[in-house]
Amino acid sequence: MAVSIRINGKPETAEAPSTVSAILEERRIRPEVVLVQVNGARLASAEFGTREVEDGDVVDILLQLAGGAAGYAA
Amino acid sequence: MPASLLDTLVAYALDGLPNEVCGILGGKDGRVERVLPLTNAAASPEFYEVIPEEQLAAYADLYDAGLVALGVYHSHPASPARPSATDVALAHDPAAVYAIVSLQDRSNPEVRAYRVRDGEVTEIAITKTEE
Repeated sequence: MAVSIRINGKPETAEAPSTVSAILEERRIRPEVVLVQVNGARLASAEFGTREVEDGDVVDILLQLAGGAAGYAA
Repeated sequence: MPASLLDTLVAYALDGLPNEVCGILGGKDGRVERVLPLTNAAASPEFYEVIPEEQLAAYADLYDAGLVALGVYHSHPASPARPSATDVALAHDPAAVYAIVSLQDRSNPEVRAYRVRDGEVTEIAITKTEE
């Protein structure tokens, strides 16, 4: 029983059933920097702890991509 | 990484001046095979921010091509090809390669790549290939 996970496009698997919060926690991913889709539908962060994902589900976890030269210390 | 794609990164960075540019590096087995430019939502010379919907679409393009996302690139129009404090603070993906294109010396652009894990920066050597 496995869930397909794609973290910033990189495929992984997680045991099912599980919650999105558990998947993030196991990977030490901070929930405030992610956007999550389950089977193509965006999940509100308030649902991370309650939404169970099951065998065959596909979870896309998008980690924020941002940065830049601001704050550059030569 | 093919030399032609390195040249492409530099060309994107120059085209995007005065702002930073950003995008996804796609490939497989550690070899970059595609560069997917994305909108810098910040439209700033000192900051970049990817739009999540574009990020997802880029990953979908890569899946369709049998590739995966290896990392992200962005440019530093006027500073070195090293991660800034902002880059390190916002590097949330420990598995990603973070490539930086520096245009500090316009006559000699430089591309370097890093991993950032728990705030610790490690440079990754870029091996330039013919194709």
